[in-house]
Amino acid sequence: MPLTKQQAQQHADVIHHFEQELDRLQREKVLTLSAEQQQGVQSHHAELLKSYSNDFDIDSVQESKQFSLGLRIASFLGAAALACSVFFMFYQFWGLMGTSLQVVLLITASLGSFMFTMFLHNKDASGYFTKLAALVSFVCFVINIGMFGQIFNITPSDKALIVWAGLAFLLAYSCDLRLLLAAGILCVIGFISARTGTWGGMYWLDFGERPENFFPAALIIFFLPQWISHSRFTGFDSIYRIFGLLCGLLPILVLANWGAASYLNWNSDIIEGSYQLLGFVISAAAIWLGARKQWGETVNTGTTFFVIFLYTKLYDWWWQIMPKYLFFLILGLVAILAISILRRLRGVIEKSQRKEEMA
Amino acid sequence: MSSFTKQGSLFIGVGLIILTNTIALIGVAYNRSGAPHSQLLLSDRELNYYHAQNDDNSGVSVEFDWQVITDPSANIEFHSWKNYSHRAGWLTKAKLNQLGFDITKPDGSLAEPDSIQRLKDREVFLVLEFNGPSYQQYLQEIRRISATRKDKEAAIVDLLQAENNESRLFVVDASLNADSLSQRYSDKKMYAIVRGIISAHWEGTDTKPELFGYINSLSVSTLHVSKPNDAVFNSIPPNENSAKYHVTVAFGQRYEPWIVLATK
Repeated sequence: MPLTKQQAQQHADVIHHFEQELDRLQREKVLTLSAEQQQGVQSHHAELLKSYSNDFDIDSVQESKQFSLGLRIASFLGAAALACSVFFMFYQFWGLMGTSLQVVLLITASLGSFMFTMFLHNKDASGYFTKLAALVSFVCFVINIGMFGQIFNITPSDKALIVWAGLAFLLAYSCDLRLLLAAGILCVIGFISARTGTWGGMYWLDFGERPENFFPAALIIFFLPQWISHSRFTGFDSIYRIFGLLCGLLPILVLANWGAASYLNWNSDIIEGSYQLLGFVISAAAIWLGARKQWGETVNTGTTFFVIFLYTKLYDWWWQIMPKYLFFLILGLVAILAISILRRLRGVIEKSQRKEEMA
Repeated sequence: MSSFTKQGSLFIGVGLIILTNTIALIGVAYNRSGAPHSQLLLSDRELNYYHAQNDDNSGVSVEFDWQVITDPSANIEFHSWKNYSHRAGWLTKAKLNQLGFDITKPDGSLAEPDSIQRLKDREVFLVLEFNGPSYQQYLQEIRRISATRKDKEAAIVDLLQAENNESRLFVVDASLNADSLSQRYSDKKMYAIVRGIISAHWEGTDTKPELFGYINSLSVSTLHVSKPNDAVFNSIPPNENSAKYHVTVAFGQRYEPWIVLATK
């Protein structure tokens, strides 16, 4: 029995593919099921699809998947718009209230929106409305703490990021929401990077000025799903790995082009060269690791950054000295080379996996 | 990852929200408990009010306007003396070292003309001096420089500006230890201790690098005006640029300021 909506959807998709394949095999006379067997399989699948549809509001018919994508987009846009509305509504009216009322209203909004989200989660099998409410709840809490800072003239502190992350993670894991997981991860990245910057001797809000501050957060976020299993939450480990890679590779890309921002007390050219090399190594390692572990998002992120690093380097070398047609021809040839290498890599990995299966 | 029960999540979330708000409010109460560290009677010269520039924000706030004395021997150009960059003459090499800056040598090259190498900013405790010796020194220097200026009319305007309109709030010292500053600047009606951000730049050339210290900002640079004090500012007409008001600002146990009273 699947535990999450995503797992139920995956199983429903497998059932549809199985039905199509069975139909083809029977038409080609490769396999023939008796009427009784056929009836048994069909009724079993129909029963399963009905229960998934009732319990998880999945797309039990293939055509309804198109609508689901539209619903997801509408849900995300609606959540973002409602969150903005809450933010601006408070700013519009807070000057009309006394301090006590402001405090009560901020706390009530945080508590009320959180409790409403949890209530809605019990009622809303589709999850679209829960996502909407959860983002509003998170924004209410961010406004709550942020406005306390303004109302009482509190010195800005990175500790706010930790409590914001706490609520975002709670909503994400309770309601199975990847959007809130991403919000929580961003808060954690901000906190760890700010602390790294403080240990490096800088003011915490300046942590973005030294991209190396993001490296510890990148390592922790990328490897977290390795240490803590997320099998109950479909897609959560992918989100961790994508953010981990972005948090590591984007700063490397910046340092590969702007060595002066580094902590390293070396010549800028050496720093930039080193980070260019590191960018290639880490992107290639991400492709290799992603292919080995069958992490599609890791392969895609690694490939994207490998190509960005490569094109940046080609631009540095040849944009000024080459005719434009030649420059773009080389870019095209490089893309063809990359496709060939990736295909070979795919072949090698498939071969090794077949060997492992046979063994 | 252990699964969250729905009821457990509800309790944890409610607990987190209540605990966070409680800690924040206890911090505010502690800051405002007992006698404040200092209490300054500031005016529209030191606290700028920008009239409702944003229709979407009904809150009222005022912003600290502060100055820094630069090194009087550094130059005699009037506009350099105005010190818009907030370079602090008293932030010497030794002082920057005390404040935790690594001042041994520039990290990289200063070979390019006008090249600057910025060290990492730091948050420290700053001393704000209101209408004290620094302001008097500032006026003296303005008068001295005005006497030497060719454009006498502009010199008079600038002098009147400094005497009647400019901020009398000066950042005069910095330390990592707030207690030592409290002992040194004990006049609670003239001095206040706040947190602020300072920076240091290596400037000059490879053969003769010079280190300069700057005051970047106060950690709390704007003050929220709560009810009923906001009436003073809400009554200012939108096109009024020279509204006069007085604001009593207290600085508490955590060196965080708040408005005690605003009057016209």
